[in-house]
Amino acid sequence: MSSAAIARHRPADNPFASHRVEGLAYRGRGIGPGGLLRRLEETGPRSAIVGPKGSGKSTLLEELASALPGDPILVRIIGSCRHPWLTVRSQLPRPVTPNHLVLIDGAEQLGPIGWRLLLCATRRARTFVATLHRPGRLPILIECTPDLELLRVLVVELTPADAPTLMPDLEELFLRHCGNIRSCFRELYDLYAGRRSVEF
Amino acid sequence: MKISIGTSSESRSGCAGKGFGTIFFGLFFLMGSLFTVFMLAETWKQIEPWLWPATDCTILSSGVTETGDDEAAYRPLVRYRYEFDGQVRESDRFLRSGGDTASFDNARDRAARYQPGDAATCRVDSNHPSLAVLERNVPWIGLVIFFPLIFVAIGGGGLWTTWVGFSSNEKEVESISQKATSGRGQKFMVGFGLLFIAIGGAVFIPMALVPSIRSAASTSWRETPCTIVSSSMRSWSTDDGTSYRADVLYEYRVDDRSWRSNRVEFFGFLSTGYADAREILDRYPDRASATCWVNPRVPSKSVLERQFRFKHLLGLIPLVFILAGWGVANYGWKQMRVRKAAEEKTMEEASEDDSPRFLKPQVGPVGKVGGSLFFALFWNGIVSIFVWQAWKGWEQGNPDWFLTIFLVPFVLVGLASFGFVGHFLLALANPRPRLTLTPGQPRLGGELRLEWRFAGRSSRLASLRIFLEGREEATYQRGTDTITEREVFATFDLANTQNDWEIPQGAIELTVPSDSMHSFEADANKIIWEIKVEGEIARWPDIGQNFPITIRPIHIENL
Amino acid sequence: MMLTLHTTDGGSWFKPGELVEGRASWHLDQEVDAVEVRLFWYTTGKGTQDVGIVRALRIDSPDSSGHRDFSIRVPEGPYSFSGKLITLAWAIELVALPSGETERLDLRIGPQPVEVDLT
Repeated sequence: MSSAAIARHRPADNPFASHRVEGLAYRGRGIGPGGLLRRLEETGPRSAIVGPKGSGKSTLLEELASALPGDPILVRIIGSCRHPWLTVRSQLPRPVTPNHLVLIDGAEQLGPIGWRLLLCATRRARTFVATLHRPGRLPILIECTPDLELLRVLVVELTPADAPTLMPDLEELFLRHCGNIRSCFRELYDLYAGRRSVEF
Repeated sequence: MKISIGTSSESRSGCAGKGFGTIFFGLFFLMGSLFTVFMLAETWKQIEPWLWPATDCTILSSGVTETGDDEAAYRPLVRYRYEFDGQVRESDRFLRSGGDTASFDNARDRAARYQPGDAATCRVDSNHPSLAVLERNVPWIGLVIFFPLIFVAIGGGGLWTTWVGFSSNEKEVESISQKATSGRGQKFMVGFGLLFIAIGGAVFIPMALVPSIRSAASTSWRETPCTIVSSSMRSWSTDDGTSYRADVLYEYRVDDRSWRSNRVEFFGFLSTGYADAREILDRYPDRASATCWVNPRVPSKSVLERQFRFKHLLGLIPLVFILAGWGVANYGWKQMRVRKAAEEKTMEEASEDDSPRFLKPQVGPVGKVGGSLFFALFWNGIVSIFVWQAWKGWEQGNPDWFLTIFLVPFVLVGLASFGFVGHFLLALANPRPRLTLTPGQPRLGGELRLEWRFAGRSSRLASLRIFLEGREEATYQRGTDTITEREVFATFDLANTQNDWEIPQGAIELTVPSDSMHSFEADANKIIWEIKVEGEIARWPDIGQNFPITIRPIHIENL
Repeated sequence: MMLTLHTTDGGSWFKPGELVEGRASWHLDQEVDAVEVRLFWYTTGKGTQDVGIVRALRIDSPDSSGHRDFSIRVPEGPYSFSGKLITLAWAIELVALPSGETERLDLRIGPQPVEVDLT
């Protein structure tokens, strides 16, 4: 399939623009918000959402934030952050009490000391969930493993008219990005934006 | 999908939480308050003599005495006579408080300002005329009051939060305009970073900078024979154990005058261990003969050892705090500025000044050398410690193969970093473009005039291209990835020549298209205009510099 | 709850420096703290969304039914534009606080009726 088959879109109309991608609900493993909350009760007050890059951990964490009662605190540590622990600390309440629900996106950015400080600072939180690339630091709430079927479902949702055209080439795209769905979306954005000639 | 992000809390915590919070933060508050009060009292004690009346006095004797305190063993001892309220009194109080020092030189120099028979001025407490001082402390201690105040703030803030709490005003996002964030944490980061810089600087300056300057200045000092008067181990208790210092008092003669000093080395701060002190005492026992180095211009200044030792590099450790603090403060400051620029989006306050502007490159050649050199030194400085360890093992016939192999990629990176330094150093010799833009901030649809010339040997340039580029920049942060993508939407050639008469200087005029987009900057999305200069030099690093400019919207009156 | 927004002459294109005049009306079925009329720009595209509120007019403790005429001067920029990575658009929103229910009216700001095209 060549880029000529897809008409160029304005960024605002691009089906893979950031606000559309960020607006996607989490899909996978047949578990909805209710199931997630039940699993949270079973796992205990501290747990992790584990998975590689682009597997939907951040999206799932946001879904969890919406499903949790009260006002959970969602802190995001971005890749460019030079001082992850300071960034987290400035966004946590002082002190963190048993009434707080704390969610940390990107906790793998913290080194061993930052991780210990985070655990200490949030030890009294009623609920603490962090996203991590690898298991081992906390009990696993859910493990996100992206699969091709998920990419297909999301592409259908974002591009209902063009989905049949894209379907045959999604497997090659998925493999080329090693299962990182977010990277797949970036390449699809470029296809719809007419940037470079993207060939699957 | 709805996201709630914010620092929210319930307005009341449980009883147990309140109790614990009260005790915990109460202690912070209490300790901080006690220290604050103590600091205030000390500060007032030092300020008071400044309010006492000045009184004439006569110096009776002047010298140095031992205090009996190992930590600050010497004190200037100056006895003086004064008259107050018709009564003649004598005193030997030099300062209201403090004045004791570990340095014999400092005590001697202070006392030397007052010779027997000299007339001087002292300050007398009118309420207690027997209390007089010869000199007044500058109340620097008042600045230290900020440290206990931090504890007061933490304690008070914690108590307030425990009992009063604060309510969240972050709401679920429904509309686009609700996503305009107020930003949080940047001011905290700037303050935190500045604190780190202050602490690092306060330690680095006396520990490394001042001794390094003195050590460098001592290269012209004269070698002079001296005699060790006394050599003793001083020790005193500190928070984390006992500190030690070798107190070696020596005497020497210059121009028929005898001087004494106890300065062993310039980097005295770094020698507080027993082993170091013992080693010094073993080198300079009582009544031994030795050699010292004397300042020919100021014979009272001398030192026993002036050479630089490897352990003195430890004085660079506070640089880590300074750099970390700079990094945090710089990041927070940049975020504040970007947010402020985004908030001031009206652009109606854009400068109306149309005068020519001398353009500055985004990163100058010196900046490139500095940045690459800093990285090379930092990287190789750390790696060299481990390389030295590995080399010692090889030298002693006991090689550490794992360490050796492990170090290979790090050493390669270090060598490559020096390669970059070399490349940028060579580029320093390149001719440098000097650009002047008129007006300084052109508008869409308006004329701009660009003048260029080169500082340096522009005859080395084989070709020159100057062009104006407009591009989009979009940054996305999803999960833990941060990526900035760029898309050039406009390129205008201003100069593209290989003629050696056109390269050294020139000027060009251009009409900025009115249907393009002006400069724009927000947190994650930008429209950037740059003038780029590219020059080829045979068998040498090429010139490549970018000069950011601002293109303003069409003037409202011209619409 | 019903919120409506419209500009006086029904137009959606404004040049920098012009006044955006119109009326915001509401019919509330529950008490709200305030309603706000906001003129703002926002970006969409490949980058994270940015939002900049130029002017906000707040009406505290509004009646259950009411309206407010507004007149907001458009700043010099930024223009509405679309490239390959970024679209910048303008809008006016009428927002009920604290519920956040919204009515939005899309606008174009720039020297021409169409957005600046950078492609």
